[in-house]
Amino acid sequence: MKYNIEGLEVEEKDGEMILNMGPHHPSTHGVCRLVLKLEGERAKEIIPVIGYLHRGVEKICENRTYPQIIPITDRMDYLSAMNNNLVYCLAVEELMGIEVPERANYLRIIAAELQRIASHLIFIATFGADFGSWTIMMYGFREREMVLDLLEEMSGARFLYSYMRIGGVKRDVSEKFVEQCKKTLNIIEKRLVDYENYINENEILLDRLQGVAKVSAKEAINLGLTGPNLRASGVAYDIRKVDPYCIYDRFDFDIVTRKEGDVYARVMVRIDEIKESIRIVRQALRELPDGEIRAKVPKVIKPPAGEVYARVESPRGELAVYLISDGKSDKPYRIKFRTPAFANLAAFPHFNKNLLIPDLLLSFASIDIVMGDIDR
Amino acid sequence: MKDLIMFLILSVIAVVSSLFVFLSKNIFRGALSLSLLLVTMAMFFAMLNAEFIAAVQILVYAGGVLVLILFAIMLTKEREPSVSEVTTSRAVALIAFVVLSLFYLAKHTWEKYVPEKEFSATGASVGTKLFQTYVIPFEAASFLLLAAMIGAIYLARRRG
Amino acid sequence: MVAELVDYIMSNKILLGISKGVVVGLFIILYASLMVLFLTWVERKVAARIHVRYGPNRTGPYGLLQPLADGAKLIQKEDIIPYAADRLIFTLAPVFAFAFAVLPFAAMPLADGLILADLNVALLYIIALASLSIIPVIMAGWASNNKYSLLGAMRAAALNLSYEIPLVLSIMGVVLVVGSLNVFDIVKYQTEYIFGIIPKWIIILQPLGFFVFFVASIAEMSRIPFDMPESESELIAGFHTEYSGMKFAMLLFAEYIHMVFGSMLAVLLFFGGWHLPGLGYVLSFLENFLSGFAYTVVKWAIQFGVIVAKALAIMFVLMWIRMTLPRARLHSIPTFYWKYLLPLALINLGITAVAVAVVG
Repeated sequence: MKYNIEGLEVEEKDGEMILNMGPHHPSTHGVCRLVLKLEGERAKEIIPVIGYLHRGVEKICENRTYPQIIPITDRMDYLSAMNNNLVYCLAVEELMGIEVPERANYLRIIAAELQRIASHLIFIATFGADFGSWTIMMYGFREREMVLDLLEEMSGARFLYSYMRIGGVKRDVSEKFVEQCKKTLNIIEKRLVDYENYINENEILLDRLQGVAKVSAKEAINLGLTGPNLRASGVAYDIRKVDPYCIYDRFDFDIVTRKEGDVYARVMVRIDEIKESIRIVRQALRELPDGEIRAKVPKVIKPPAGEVYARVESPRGELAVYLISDGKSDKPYRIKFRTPAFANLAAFPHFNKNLLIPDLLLSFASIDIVMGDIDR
Repeated sequence: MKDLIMFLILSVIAVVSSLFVFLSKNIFRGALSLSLLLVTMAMFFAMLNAEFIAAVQILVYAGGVLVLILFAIMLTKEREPSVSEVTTSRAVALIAFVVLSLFYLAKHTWEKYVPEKEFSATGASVGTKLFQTYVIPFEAASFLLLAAMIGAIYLARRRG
Repeated sequence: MVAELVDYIMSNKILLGISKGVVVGLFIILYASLMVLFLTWVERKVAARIHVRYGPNRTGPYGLLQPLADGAKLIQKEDIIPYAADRLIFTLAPVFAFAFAVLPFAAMPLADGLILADLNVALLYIIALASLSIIPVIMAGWASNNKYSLLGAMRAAALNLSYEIPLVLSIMGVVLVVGSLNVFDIVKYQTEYIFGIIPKWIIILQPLGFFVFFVASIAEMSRIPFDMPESESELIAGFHTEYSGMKFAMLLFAEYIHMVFGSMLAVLLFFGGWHLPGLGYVLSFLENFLSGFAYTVVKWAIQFGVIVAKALAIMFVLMWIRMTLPRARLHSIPTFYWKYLLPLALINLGITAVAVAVVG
């Protein structure tokens, strides 16, 4: 029997079964659709089908003025809205040559790193749900809730912040926030030990995670993986280090890598990255200078003609924006987002052949995709 | 009286379900009615005060039917099989079946089978029979089954 | 009128048998159902406490009426049968699931002398009926005509073929020790004491057997870590993906009844049934005040309470395990059962046989 999947012809031979997983499936993290060709429960072929959350963000951006685009970027990768805001603002600032004040830079880094912690916590939580432990799910969301409280204190919103502004940030933080932030970080640091123990001291879980869906360093680079997925294969590549933006070069932190390249490594890398993020936020809070939070920018933002490519390290990998301005209007001529989850999902079918459904879904969870980020 | 009513009800179920086993075109339903037949057989045993054998009947055949159903699911592709045609071999088989069963009925119907009076089917007595009186046939049968199992595994391995 | 009817029924042997069966049968269904309703509440509460949440607390005191609210919701749901499903088998599957789950209780004593059918081979009957419970699962999975359901059913079959043999072998250890398949005999055996102090519960004599039994019965209840047939993050809901309304409720009921059944069996076989050290004194004390029927009822109530309390303790452990462990890996399960648990069960059986032969 032959099936036509989004224009792709797939043949179902004797003893095979085409299984349509998603877009409504508890483990496809949103509305991703995986078409699997199964032999028994072994997936011979994986075809990801995307587009169920497509809103045409890039086209919408062409019809909005530059400040109006910030809330739209929130809605791409909704689990790390701060990083989306940041990369867009960095691009516009570079185009216009705006110098961001010290305090704003620190606040940006605090916000971005808190966002990274929240996003990785959600990763651990949903990953827990995928391997059948609702306890981990609840724990992850409990910790994330405290981080969201912090972000709400900063920006006034809990989820879609629009906190970054061209030339700075939206609001200043109080002394109270600094204290609260330090307290929360201490709690999270303590509780991370629980997560590590849960994973490392559980035979059943180790049996499920170790050695599943391995990617070698070379393969990972060739497939275009970025972020924690790449670092889990042993490649020390982090935009914050190799191409520092904001003032990341002033902070003392390490690139977390692991050699194994399997699902286990991808989980542990994220747990360790939370620790590094906590380190960065602590340094930033300690050195937080006084001063302006926004540079002087013209009322109507009309960048000179030109093009710019800005990139940041989002919790999912290399997030970049390519922006063209024609210099005449207050709207961008063309805007293109290079989103990390899209590249990671595109690489996914290549290193997950011949896995059983449970392993496949764990591997799928471990690359941490967000459909808003992929479909845009 | 009570036993007779029970016997009649169970017999009807047994006959209907056994007819359904080979008349049904749907192999899955056929396997299910086979399991119904086996459960009614167990009830017959229970009515004859052979509770041990009744329980063993269910215990053994539940697993057996399960495996049968698995084969039904794995080996058949179409859920609704096409209407079977009358072929020569089938016709011959049917005629042979009818003739042979007529012969059998004519010969044996009115013979009385008298059960061993002193034998009651408790766990101990069945065990004694199996492991002492008939230990060699029992072992031979299990050896045969083992050989069949190894053969099946070998065949399945070679295919996969 | 009523008295006449009762007299008539009492005088007729067949009617008496039937009515006795109906009454006790209804009692067992009611008991199992109430236990399940209570269990769903307990499970939610325990899970919530482990998750650092509150759990249901809006419906009645401590949310105790939550199961009833759930039931009311499920009754109102539309009963959907998929267009391509095998209607007959799809409808029959929940019925059989419920029936096969309840039937073993007929041979399980609830107190000393309180039983529906006192069989000589009660234990064998219980195991036999428990082993039938796989068939409704496969019926449901196949009849739904849904690939997820089918995968769930196939997984259930694979799991069933793995756990069944260690389960039965571990029970055989108990049978060897006691020398009877009758559950009353097994409990009676456990009312004695070793050295006059330690109760002779079979768990003390058969710790390895209990371990095998417990692990295998977790699979029998298809709970985490062995809940492959319905692992929600992989197969949506496994074999009951397509079910809704009361059919779904019945499948769910059957599953929880398996949990009650498993823990009841563990209590009867390994934890002394209704026996509790010191309970004998209380009962003989009560016997001075009460007489005849009243005493029997009170005794039954107390013993039944003991069994339920012990069963609940085991169920708590089951919930604890469910909330703590992740789902095991699919292809490690048959390996685990055939390579480790089955030899363990055989070793246990061998040691027990030798010990019984030596001690006498």
